[in-house]
Amino acid sequence: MKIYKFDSVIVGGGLAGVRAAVEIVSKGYKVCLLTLLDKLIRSHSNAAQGGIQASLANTIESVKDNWRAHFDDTVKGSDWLADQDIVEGVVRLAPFLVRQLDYWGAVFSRTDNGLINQRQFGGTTHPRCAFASDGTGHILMNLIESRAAFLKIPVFSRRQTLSLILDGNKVIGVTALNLINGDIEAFLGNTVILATGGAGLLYKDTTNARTCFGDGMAIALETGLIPLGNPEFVQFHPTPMPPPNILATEGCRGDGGVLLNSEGKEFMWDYSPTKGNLASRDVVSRAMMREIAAERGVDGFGTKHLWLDIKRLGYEHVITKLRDVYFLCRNFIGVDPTKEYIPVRPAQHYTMFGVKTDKYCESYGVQGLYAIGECACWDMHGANRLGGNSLLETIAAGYIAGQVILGNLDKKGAAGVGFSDILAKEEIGRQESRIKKILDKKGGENVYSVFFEMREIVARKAGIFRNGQDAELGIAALKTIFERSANVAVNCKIMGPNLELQLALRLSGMVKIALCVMKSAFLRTESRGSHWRDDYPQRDDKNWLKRTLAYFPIDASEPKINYEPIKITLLPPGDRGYGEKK
Amino acid sequence: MSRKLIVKIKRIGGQIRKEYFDDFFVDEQKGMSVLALLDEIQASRDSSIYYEGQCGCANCGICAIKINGRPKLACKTQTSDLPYEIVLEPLDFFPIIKDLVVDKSEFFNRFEQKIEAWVHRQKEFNPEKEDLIVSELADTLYENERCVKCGICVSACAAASFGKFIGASGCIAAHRFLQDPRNEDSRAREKLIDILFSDEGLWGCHAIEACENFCPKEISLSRQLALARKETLKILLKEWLARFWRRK
Repeated sequence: MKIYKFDSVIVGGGLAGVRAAVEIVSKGYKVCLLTLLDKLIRSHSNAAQGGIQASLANTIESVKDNWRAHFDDTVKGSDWLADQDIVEGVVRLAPFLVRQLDYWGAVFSRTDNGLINQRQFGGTTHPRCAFASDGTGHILMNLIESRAAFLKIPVFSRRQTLSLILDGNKVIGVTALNLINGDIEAFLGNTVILATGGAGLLYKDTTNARTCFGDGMAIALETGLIPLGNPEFVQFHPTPMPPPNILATEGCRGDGGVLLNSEGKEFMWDYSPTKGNLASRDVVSRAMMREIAAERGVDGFGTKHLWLDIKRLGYEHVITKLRDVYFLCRNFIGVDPTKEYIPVRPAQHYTMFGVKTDKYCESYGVQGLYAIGECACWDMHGANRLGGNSLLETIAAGYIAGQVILGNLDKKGAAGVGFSDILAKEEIGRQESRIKKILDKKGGENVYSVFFEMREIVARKAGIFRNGQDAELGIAALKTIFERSANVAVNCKIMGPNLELQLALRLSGMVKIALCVMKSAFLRTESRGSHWRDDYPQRDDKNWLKRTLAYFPIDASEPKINYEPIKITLLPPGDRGYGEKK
Repeated sequence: MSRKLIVKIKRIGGQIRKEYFDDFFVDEQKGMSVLALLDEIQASRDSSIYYEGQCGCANCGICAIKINGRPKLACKTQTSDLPYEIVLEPLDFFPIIKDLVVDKSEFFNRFEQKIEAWVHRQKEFNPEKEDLIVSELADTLYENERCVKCGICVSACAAASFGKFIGASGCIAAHRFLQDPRNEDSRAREKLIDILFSDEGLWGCHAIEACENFCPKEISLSRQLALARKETLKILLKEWLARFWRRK
């Protein structure tokens, strides 16, 4: 039985987690990173393509850009559901954070006079997105791993986090399964940071990687004390390429690419006369699905899709500024984007929801637990996230959480105070018996069929277009799945490297998240941002300008939904300015 | 008509490390990658197979395996490009964990510590303005940064398998930090040159160019290695000449 002790334990080795680790280590405190994968750069943050938003005002078109413009764009994008205090804090910090990344050695693309270059993105008034060709996430992951290597931060690779260890309502650590030898280990710390990323795998068609199970959200939800914020808000990206749902960055449209229907028409101007192809992602995704529903889609690539035209940008532009799109198109779907149109169809991309945290990234309900990045609902994105704000959120949340934790550690002093091995041993015992129960079970439910059915239900009943009746059916169907998920058995009976067991262990947690999504989508009787209800197509500020908090009490069969008011400071609710026709 | 594929997967695992092949018959689907093929087998045939995949778009480098004897990314390789008999084995060179999964992190972490693969700054940070970098240089650095550390170039390299050679991946990483003007610490630069100019670095390369043929990110590795050789020679030559003149 291994028990490790640190000042701070960080679950998740993506940008947010490592950025927080870098901050805390800077004063000599001991932290550790737990990752599911073998190396930090494999984390899903590296798949971010387009860029990171910061009002640097470096290009000729963005000279007049400032934090306030960034603030307004973000709040409008969020359909006024974002916490304005937090948005203000982050956008004011953004230029500092991006220049700091550059100082550390990030390889951003440059303008002709050597400054960080910026490109246009959806829903923004100025070109604001700092980028590195179209592999921004990849170079930032390279950079942040190089910082972690420089600071010699210990990384525990191939660890699946199983649960939080609680002492009353204070968190003192986590238990994790070693995926190589099958041991259950405890990692104790004064604070625990969850940075496990989103829960994209709830949906059948997703651009997310294979580790985006939402582990952090699930283990927080399982305590019964911590709510998920805004679970009805899920982003669908307009331009993944079917059938493997590999993303073509929003930068394609930012640089001047356009969406075309089967008649070769630039249809986006019909739906958003002001922004056209560069409206926010929720608006574009809905418009595309409406075009496909109106029989103006194209058959092929295993589905009905539309076209994205970037060949009009010219060969030179595509192979330098959109290098990876060029690479992905040729290798994965056999299309040469310098000569042909790219097939695209919306798919799940981002979860705006997550572990609800306050301004300081500390979670509701449990002391000492922090959540950052996509895993958290800090509420910078509200009902819809703008492209390029996710990378910014990871870096900003990592920095801010790091600073807050540093402050607390300075006050309280270093590690080990009041750590209780007894509680850790108890929790390890609980997890061991849970695993043993699954391994010993004979003739239970098949893990994969339960998992696939859940994804099918969520995709069909809580997709881009929703309605009350569907959501109600969805809740009923998910309840059955939830009962079945408690009854799974595995064929592969070993504790160590066992993919089936890994999935079985997270199944019930995922269904809990799915139930939160479905139920809060059912209850929110308005259309706002990414949440669209066919039966309530208008935004309703009078009744619904509030944030959903979904709790899942222990032993309950469905979530309990509460609400809290939204903080409006600088920008009162108004029109988003995309001219979307409802 | 879809083909019926015969998939032979090498199984290695357990205490005694028994090695054998398991055969599976799978109906080929349109646009199927080898990773999707493994998913299919895992979910509906034999759940004990251990393999890894993450991003599914050649961006993370975790899913590198040997496909019909050649090191490739499982997510990028389409079954339609392969014969109906597909043999899947773990990568050479790296220690095997189970079945198709190897441990690459130790190799990469070791060389990253050795070459100090980070930018050593000495100048103070100015939050008001970033350092100016020529646009072309940024593009050059980006080309090196595209490496996903999948281990294919090392696994395919005959030289890496018996020496201390840090591989094409290691050499271009070292070259990247040598080229970066922000890497200001002269001690760190000397260290990079020492490693590049030894058997661990560029002189460990036997110019077999297997790395170039197999790089899944289409990085022109032999060109990158040539550029690195040119750069290190240039720097060393300058140093020697400077020393020569000083003595006079």
